[in-house]
Amino acid sequence: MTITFTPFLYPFSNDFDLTMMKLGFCGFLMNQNFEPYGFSLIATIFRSHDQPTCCTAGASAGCRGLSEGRLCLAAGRPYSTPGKMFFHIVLERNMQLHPRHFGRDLREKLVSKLMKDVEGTCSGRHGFVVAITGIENVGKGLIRDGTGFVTFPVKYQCVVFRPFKGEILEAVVSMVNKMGFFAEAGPVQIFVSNHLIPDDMEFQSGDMPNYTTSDGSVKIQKESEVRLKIIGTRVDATEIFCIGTIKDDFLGVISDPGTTS
Amino acid sequence: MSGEEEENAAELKIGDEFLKAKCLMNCEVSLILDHKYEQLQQMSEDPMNQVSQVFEKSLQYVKRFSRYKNPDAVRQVREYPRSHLHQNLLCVLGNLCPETVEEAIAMVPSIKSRGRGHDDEAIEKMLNDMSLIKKFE
Repeated sequence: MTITFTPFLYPFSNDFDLTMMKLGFCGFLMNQNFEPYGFSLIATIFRSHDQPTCCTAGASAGCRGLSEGRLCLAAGRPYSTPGKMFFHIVLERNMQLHPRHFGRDLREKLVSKLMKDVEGTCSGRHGFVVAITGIENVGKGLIRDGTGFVTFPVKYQCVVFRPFKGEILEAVVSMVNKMGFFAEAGPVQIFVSNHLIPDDMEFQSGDMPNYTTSDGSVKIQKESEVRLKIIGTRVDATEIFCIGTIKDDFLGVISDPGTTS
Repeated sequence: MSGEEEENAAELKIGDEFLKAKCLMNCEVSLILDHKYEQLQQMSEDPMNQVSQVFEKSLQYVKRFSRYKNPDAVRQVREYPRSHLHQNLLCVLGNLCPETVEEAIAMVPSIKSRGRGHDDEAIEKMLNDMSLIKKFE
């Protein structure tokens, strides 16, 4: 078995990553774009005749900000000012409109089409567009050659949800397993690996898998509310994934479902 | 659309548009989304079918984690320290409602290093005022 691991990846131990791969989580962790940290992680998994699973994982550094990334992973400290995930923001979009909609209620048509097209979408740059709250202005239309469609530049205000790394937020646990747990904060899923859960919390399997401290006073299970810090985001054109930690001061369970409801 | 796809990979910092953008506390988002949902309700019988999953999930989330339920309280928090607190910090404090100064600093390290140099006392006063707003909402 070949495992090459560069030291600055130590929060995820070899063992951990292997388990993750076996369980199909490799897609989640391994294909992550760790660019925000300043390095990318490349992993290849292949089968050979004498070993069941063989894996090579290496990290290619050399991008900018490696030291920052290292700091961030090792100490879990943010190096950018945390933003807040909900923003009210002005965006612009070119809307194509079919000529049959031209007439008195052109503007309404345009707006309802905009809502249909944009609300609920996710772009890597702006995050999830939750709701359009207003139209700033509709520019002059431009007739497209050949089709008769008209393109209108529309400026609109909307509420977007965009998580940033270093940010602290509250989330609801949606799934617990021995690799860690998934939590949801609005539309985004955050994975917290068991290496980023405090060491005194042990995994307990059963009907209701959970992480519990040895004295049983704190328990993380499905539906628990936790406060966590985002230490990594992977942003692509249509999705955002986050990795979080609860291994820091003032992070962890806020309430568990047993006590609140 | 293609423009967005090209831009995202290099995204390292908060984009310009986010620096200028107004950030919202969970409770504010909750008010906005509620309002929008009511509008939809008036227009159609089954509003849940109209809204996207993102909308639905966000609404659930902000409802669950709103610290201030009353619109007046939300406004008070928003208006409270306008002169000397960066609005991003305000949002973080408004969302997480830290109880102690140490907790606030752990949540937002930049509270101490934002040039204006909030000292512990100032932070404590701020937290107190905020919890008062919550208490009397």
